[in-house]
Amino acid sequence: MDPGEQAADLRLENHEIAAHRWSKEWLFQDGDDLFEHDFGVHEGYGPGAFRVHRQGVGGPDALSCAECHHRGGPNGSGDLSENAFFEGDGSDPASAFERNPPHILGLGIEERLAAEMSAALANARAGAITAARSSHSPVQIALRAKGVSFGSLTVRPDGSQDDAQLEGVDSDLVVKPFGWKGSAATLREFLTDGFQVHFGIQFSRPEAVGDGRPWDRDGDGSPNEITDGMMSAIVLYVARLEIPVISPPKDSDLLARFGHGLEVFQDTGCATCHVTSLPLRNPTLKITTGLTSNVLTEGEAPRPRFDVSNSDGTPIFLFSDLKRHAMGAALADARPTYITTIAYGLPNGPKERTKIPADVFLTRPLWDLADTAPYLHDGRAPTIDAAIELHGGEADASRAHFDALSSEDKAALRIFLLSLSRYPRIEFR
Amino acid sequence: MKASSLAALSIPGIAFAAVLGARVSPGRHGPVPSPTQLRYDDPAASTENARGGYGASASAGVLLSEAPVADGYRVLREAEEDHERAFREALDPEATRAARVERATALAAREATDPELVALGKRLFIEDWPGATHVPLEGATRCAACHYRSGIGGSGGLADGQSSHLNPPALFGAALLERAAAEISRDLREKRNRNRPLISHGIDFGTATHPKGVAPDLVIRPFGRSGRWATIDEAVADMSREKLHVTSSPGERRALEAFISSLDAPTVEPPDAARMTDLFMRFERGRRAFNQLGCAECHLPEIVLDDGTVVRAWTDLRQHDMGDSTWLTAPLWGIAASAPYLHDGRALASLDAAILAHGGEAQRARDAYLHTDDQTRGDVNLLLVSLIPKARIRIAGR
Repeated sequence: MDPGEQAADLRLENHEIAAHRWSKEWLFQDGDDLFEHDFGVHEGYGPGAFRVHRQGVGGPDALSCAECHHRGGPNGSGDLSENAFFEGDGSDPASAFERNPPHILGLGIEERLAAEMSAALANARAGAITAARSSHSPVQIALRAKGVSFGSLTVRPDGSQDDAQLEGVDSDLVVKPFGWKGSAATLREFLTDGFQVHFGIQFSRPEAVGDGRPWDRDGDGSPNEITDGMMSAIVLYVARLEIPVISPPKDSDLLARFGHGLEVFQDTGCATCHVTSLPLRNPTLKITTGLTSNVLTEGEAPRPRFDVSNSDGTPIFLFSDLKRHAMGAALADARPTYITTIAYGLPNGPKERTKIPADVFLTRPLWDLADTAPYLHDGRAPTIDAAIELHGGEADASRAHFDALSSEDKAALRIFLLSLSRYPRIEFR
Repeated sequence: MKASSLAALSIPGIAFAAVLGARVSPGRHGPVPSPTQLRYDDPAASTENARGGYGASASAGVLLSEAPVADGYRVLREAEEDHERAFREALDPEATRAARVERATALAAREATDPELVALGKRLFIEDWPGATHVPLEGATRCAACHYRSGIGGSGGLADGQSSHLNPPALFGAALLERAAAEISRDLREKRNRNRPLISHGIDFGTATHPKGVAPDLVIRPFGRSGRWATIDEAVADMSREKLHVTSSPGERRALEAFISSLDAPTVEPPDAARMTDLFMRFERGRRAFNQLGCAECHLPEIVLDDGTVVRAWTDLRQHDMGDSTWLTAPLWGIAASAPYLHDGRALASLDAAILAHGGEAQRARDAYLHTDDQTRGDVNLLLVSLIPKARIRIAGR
């Protein structure tokens, strides 16, 4: 009973993956084990435990991923009691950003969708720069990706840009689908941060938090707490999880109401931001050298049958535009969030500190909404109706439409939203 | 679990479920145990539900039976019915809520083992309470928010401890604990009336003038980390008020009590004696060491009730001075799936750290554990990780 025995089994390196030493199935299993694993101090957990995070360091505040992602089944959302308190003072919940754990299904698809949108925006800018150079005058372009407008951008002949008219995306034009405020573009980045702030488990890399020796930044005496290879396994695992489905009622009366609910969803204006579907053209997610995953066709059952024959892309029923919106003062955090971005999104550009205003949030994808109460970023809304009522800012008009709906229409809308769910799964435990 | 290992599972129901396209997860404690392992504890004596056996537990998941294929069908059908009902109830949430209170009142007079009452209690345990309010770090919207690990009714995680710093325990076997506590309380009162020493079921509770490990009223309170409640009903009433910030009706509490009472008592799953003989021998040595080191003085492996029921909860149901404060001896059944350990979760995922954090009345046993050899410490840990909740075929998250 060596307590390190299981941890040792879970360790693997990226160069082993590149040499195809592990099958995808094995890596998925490794990620699954890590997801459920209660991390111990001997594995680099800690130091300490802080329910309210400390600025720049994090908690730790949980023992395993599964602890806060369990609602509605494995990898689901978290309850109110599992809300995380990010970037606080270590004790007072009011000092921190309170966040309800979202479910983690379909994230590989979200990363690919966002990457395609970022590429479209970067292309548009590159084209504008060329035009500005040849015309020796500033060029203004409208920015659109997958039918979603991100405002407009003016580029000057010297390559600099005026981003005052940008909407819902940072000046790097990188669409970031992860985090309630849309703070990370890739699963690897997001999960790496998660291991740091929730477990105090970190890479032996310079960007790890702390001023300890390079192999033990947090100075807890546990070197090389997690390897790139383990993180690759976790990214692959998350990317291959089941995908939420639309599962309407069977009863004919309820089914009619479901259909009407979808119309109400669109007519009321919900679908302006919670865009019903986005087309995915290239489902291949690159995870590390020698490891990719087709986020549509590979992975665990159950998953919807995707129509991959359409050359315009496979529609993904995400119910989000992957864009940030101002949601009004009532939903705002106490202060803005700052994230690190790369200037102009250039591969070797300088790092910048980018502000996300206090009232600005990413349009929450609604797939599997049925299993994710309590709702909104801090779980303040116990019911679907309460969640809609709390929408403000850019959603003011839609909320007003909702308020004016008949009780029949509201019921239909609820029935439609409750169909956004996941298949039941049998487990033995 | 990886696809290749599905084939290795010997239980037809599991393979069947995989064919159906449902994902199958093994328990967090590793591979699916063989049926012989599940029967290690004589089920008739110790793991049968205190209030009427397996039958009442149907909606807590489905006990692995001789017909796991039928079990798989049944839980899937139940899940589909739940899904359909959620739509119906969404038509008018307020009427649904009112109807539920009414239904609970109507069912309240039934036996606690009544399947409809248990099923209603399960829904009240899993579903969000509409009146539950959001107070940061204070509570949640449903019971299952903090009682979910290893299935609904299990323990909570580190995060669920919240600002109360009380780590939510698993509720498995609660009915059996309530019954044992009531029997001992009755016994103690009789002994006091007859001026006899307060020794009940082999447990020493001192004398009438100087009771030990029990409140002066001689009521054993097996629930709450410090021994706060004598009955499931009391615990449900206080917790729904303190953690959900709602007022529950007597009927709703009765239904919740019935559901909690239907949860199986945990079991023992030692390493397979045939395939892992060395480990099995270490498990056996662990049992002996547990006694020799003094752990078993408080973590009493079993209490035999008057009717012969054996409660293998690994607790003496007494309160003890642990150095910093007074705590009830935590039942160790199911401990393998209940990290983080100790009343506030301070031992995190380490059983070793949990043992070493013992003080006060447990100081001597703790020191004995500290000073014994690594091999013996490992044996004790092996015993503890064999104490697991009973596995069932169920729908994940419900």
